Amino acid sequence: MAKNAMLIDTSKCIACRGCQVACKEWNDLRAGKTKMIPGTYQNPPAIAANTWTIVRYSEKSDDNGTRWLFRKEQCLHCDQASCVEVCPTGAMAKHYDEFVEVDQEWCIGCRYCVQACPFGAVQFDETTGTVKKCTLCIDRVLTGLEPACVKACPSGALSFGDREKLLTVARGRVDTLRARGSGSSGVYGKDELGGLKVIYILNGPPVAYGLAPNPQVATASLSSSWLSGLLATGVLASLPFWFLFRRKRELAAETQEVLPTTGGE
Amino acid sequence: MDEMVWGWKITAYIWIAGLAGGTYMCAILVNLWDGRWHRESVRAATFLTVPLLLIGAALLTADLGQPARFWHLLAAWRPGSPMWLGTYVLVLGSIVGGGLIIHEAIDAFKVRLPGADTLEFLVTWLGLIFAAVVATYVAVLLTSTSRVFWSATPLLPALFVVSALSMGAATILIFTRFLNLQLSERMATRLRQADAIFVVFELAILAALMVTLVFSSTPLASKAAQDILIAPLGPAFWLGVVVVGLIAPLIIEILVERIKPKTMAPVMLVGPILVLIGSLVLRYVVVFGGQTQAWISRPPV
Amino acid sequence: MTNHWIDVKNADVILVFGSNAAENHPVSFGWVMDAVDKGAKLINVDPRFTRTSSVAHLYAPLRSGSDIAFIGGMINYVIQNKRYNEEYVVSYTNAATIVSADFKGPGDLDGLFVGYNEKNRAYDASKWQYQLEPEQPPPEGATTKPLRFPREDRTLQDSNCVFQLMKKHYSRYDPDTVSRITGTPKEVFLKVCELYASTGEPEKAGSIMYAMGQTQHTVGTQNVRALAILQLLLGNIGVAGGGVNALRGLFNVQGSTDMSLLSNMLPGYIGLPEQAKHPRLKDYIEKETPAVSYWNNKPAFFVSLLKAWWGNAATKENDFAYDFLPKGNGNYSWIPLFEAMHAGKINGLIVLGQNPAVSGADQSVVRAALGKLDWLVVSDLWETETMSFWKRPGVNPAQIRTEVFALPAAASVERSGSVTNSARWIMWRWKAIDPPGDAKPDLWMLDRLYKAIRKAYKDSTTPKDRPILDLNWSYGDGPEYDAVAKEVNGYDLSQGKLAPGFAALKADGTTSCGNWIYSGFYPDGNTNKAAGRDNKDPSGLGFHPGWGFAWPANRRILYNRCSTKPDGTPWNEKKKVIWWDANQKKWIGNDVPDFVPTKAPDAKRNPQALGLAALGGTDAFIMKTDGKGWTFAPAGIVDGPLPEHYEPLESPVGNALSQVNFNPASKVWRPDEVGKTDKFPIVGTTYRLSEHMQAGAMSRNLPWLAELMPELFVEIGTELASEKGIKSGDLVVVRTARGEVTGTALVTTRFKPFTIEGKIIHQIGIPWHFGYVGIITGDSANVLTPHVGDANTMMPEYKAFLCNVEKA
Repeated sequence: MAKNAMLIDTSKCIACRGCQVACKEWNDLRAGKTKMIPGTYQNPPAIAANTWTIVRYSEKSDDNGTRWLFRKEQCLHCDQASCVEVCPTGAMAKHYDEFVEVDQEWCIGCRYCVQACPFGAVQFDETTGTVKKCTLCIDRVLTGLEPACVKACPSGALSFGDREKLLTVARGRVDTLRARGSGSSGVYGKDELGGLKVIYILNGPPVAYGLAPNPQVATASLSSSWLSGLLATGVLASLPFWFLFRRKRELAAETQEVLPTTGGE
Repeated sequence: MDEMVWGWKITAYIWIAGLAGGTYMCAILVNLWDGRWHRESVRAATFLTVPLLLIGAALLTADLGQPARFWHLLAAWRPGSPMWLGTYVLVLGSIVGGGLIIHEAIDAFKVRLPGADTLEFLVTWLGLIFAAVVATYVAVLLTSTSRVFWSATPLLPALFVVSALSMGAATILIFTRFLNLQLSERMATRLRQADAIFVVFELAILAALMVTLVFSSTPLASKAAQDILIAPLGPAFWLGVVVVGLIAPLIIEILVERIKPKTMAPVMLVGPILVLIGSLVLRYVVVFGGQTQAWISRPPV
Repeated sequence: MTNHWIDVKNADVILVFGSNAAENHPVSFGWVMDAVDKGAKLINVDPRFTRTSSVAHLYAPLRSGSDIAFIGGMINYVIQNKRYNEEYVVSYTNAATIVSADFKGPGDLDGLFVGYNEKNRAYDASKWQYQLEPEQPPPEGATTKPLRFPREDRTLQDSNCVFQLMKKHYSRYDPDTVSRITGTPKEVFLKVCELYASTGEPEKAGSIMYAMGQTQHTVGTQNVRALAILQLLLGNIGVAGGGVNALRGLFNVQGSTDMSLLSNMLPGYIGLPEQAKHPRLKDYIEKETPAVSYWNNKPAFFVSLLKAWWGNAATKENDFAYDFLPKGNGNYSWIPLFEAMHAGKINGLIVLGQNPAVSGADQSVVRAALGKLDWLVVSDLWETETMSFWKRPGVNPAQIRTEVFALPAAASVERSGSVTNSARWIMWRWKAIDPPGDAKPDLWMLDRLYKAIRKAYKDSTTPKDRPILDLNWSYGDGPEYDAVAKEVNGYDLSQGKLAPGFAALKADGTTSCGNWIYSGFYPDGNTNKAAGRDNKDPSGLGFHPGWGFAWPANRRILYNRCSTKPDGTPWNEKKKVIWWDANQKKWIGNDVPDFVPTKAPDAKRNPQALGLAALGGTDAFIMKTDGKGWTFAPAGIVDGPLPEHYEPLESPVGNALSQVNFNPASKVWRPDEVGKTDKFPIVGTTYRLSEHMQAGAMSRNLPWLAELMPELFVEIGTELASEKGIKSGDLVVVRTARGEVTGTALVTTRFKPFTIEGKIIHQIGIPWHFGYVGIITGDSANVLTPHVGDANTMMPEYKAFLCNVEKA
């Protein structure tokens, strides 16, 4: 379990996207050529090899008024990390028991982790032939600095520090939000996937922010999948053959028939 | 539609893996309850399977971002990763299959090596296990992701295995015809019947999968079903998978039962060929359909 | 800002009105978030739901251009429900002052104030004046007649006292009327009133943050005045967590304004002398120096400025080189400047740190005007639309005769010097890296330019060239930023030392000072207080007195005498700014008192004295001739002593309050370019985004920012979009009477139609950052905006115009 954590308070995010730019600046990630995405300010459209974090915008309007929700998406450095579980080479691994990192020299570019991450946070880089994702600025954190995005955040939506302390802060904040009337506010990431290293304060239910309420590690049903597959092989495959090719019973009736080894009938 | 993380190479590979695994399995299984051992069918299956595995391995390698690092996978010990396990089996299968081919080649010169029968027996049965794993693991691999369509139900492995067996039966029918390896009337009929049964199984599993998906509580699952049943993959699914790959072969088999044309008539190949085409389209629909909706916790903008 | 950024955290309620602080001031907005963290409520009033609204507790929509109706309604609510701080209002504002019996307001005169002259669209303000106390003979032993102070009724009952006039004036702004004009649902409007009026309780503080949403209207000045009146009534001026706070759009807008960016001002807000009115120094001093208030020292500030500019050539004999100073003979602000250029009256233009070919209203005029120049010099970090106007889309470069010189400029981190932020903090900055290539700092360019001109004139003997040759220009070859800073601070010339502050400045030519309000930031050769980086905050209220230097006199909260009750004890013990110490007999506290430090709270006015000495112990507004906060402006405002609602030049509806639709004192430059509702039924507005900077050169050339907002877009409400068959992502064209721009539609629920007088009025919005040069391009939204300005400042009306939108 991670000692340190990053806290993303969506209720304080003003979607200025300083984090997006700071991330690219520190990690030297190139800018893409983008187009306006219909109906939203969000851009680039999603996390990509050269975009390790984005702010997701979702706009909702009903009789109670308009809401504009923002969530910073990035690798959440799960305790039970799907990407680590499925990686066939061990290039994706946990370091210091808390940072999920890709070994750029060992990754073969199979992209299994890309498919496995519940958050779409790992993406393939065509230019290097390997996958890329948020490192949680391990290079900064190990030298006592906070991640670049946290450093840049002007509104207090991002913070980095002791996980337990941040969880206490988060619980207090959720109480405040609930007292203010958002009953569906909550903390996301305390226990999800074994406990995330990046924790959210959500001012609404997870789905409103595009988060699965109960995320599962990609290999959660591994054994049942194997079972389903092998059972199918065993039962479904054998059954017709057994039924159709029960020769012994018919052997007597068909003694004339000899299976030719070669040549015509 | 998000950019496809896995594209045609992986689709082709998954199809080939099914083809190889299914063919080998069929070839062995027809012998199992037949009362006599048809070495020819095993031999034919082996000759077909090993090159298929090699093509598959080549496709997999070519699809890597860093193909030259393929050995990193073999140098690792990651049994929890279906990809690692499957690839290992694929490589071992190729080696075993290669051994079998060498064995057959020697056999052709009527030279019988000492202990060859035991070895042949062992290798054949090991091959069956490997074939089952190869046909299954591609689906297990897809299931162990966070793509909604792949992971929302546990039915994908069963679907792939049944489809692989159906392909296997079709392949044997086609290739014995082309290689002029004559099948007995009885054998061919039984294979056709087996194929028809697999097609029925496949239809049932596919229906169950789609129904489960539509009513699944997993976010986006019903959307994923929509992508496949309506657009963008609706035409491929209904025409390619259901009509061409399942209904048409089934009808043909029923007609064949009724009319009983000559076994060697070219028209007899139409059903099996449609099965192979349908299986390819099925894999296309599954691979691409899994990627139309983004990840479970990353719905589209 | 009357207060400062950090002080926002002390507020109980924050009203962001006419500003999108979260998007355009995201870093400073952290203090708002801090206040909210501590329990403050955040209100946002804006035509569209913005990123500021997304974190607000209460959001109220209003139609662009109806701000005074809204604020006037709030004033009415506060007065009618007696929510004002009465003790504050009586003691510190001019509410008790009695106005001329001849005064009549828009309620009496159907939309006009008394004294209007229709022919020249101007007011004669003589009937807006205060009634004065009866004239008294000089007391024994004195030669001068005593001063006549305004008459007051401290019970606020006199029917001609400011309070009653104001009450009557704003009684027309009842909630129903407000809702009919603004389109704000009445219950939402009342919620805003109720929440914000809670800051009228003596110990509570409310902060108002505004920006271009208030100023870029033909009633811009009155918009801000309305906010000030509201704050004065609620007792929110001078207290910690209060104030009327202008959010500046760049880190040094305040500094450039202080240094006479305004065309009618000299540095330090000294009015520019006019040739006809002030032919000699004596005329200027006599006419422009009030007997009462701190401005009584204006001669000292003005003469010290002349001494700073012409040094030894400025002598008592030559009126301190008064004749060298160019005098005003007209309006030189933005719109008149470009109209004059368009009329071919201007030959050359130097553009530093601006991009008028994107930012100026009515681009067809601006771009055509640039083509009538003989020469144009543009200095910038990148190629801008202004320096490339001659090759813009749709023009033939061969037909433009303007010779253009582009100078590469150094960026802010590539040079030293000071900036002054919204909070009036002068902060020194140090160069971080060398500028690339030939890029040079502005100071270097101006230094070389002046030296070249001086060289060209060096043999001249004509008197008219003396202002150039005698100019005091001694900044070395660097040139030295320190030398400029010291000149701005000023010298005691008799001692050859730096001036300790503006109190030491004299009108006899023995001191010099480049900008009196800055004086004291560089009090001796070793102390540049602007470079102070002491982060200590002894009070915990965020004053940080050792961090930079806040003009004037390092005062962090202006008018802070009002932070106490009239008797000198703080309104709120927990947020005390200054207070009267009866033992020491002086004002002490956490901030520098904005008051005579030894004047007791109960001190009486002294009609025999001048300047501050004439004012009493509760005359907290020391720059005002009566020492009071002006809820009613008897002078200095051309379009009425009280803010009155008028519609924008282009409005979808008539004025619901009177027959006068448009600000009667505002000049219409191009009457044939005014759109009507038949062709242009939709209200349009322009704004900025977090991701881009002003005219866009600084952000549209940075790939990391460009990818965030890559295209010009038009925000359209879902209702209007479905009416017009427009979908998000469609190309749409927006047309006004001036021109058209094409952009990508962004259909959103954040724009909602307004119901005004039973009519559905739609509003759309366009960011104005785009132009035809850079790595991402699009046309400027200012192709659409009209060439019309505020009656007082001539600030163009960028925020409200009529348009139509169609699928392209």
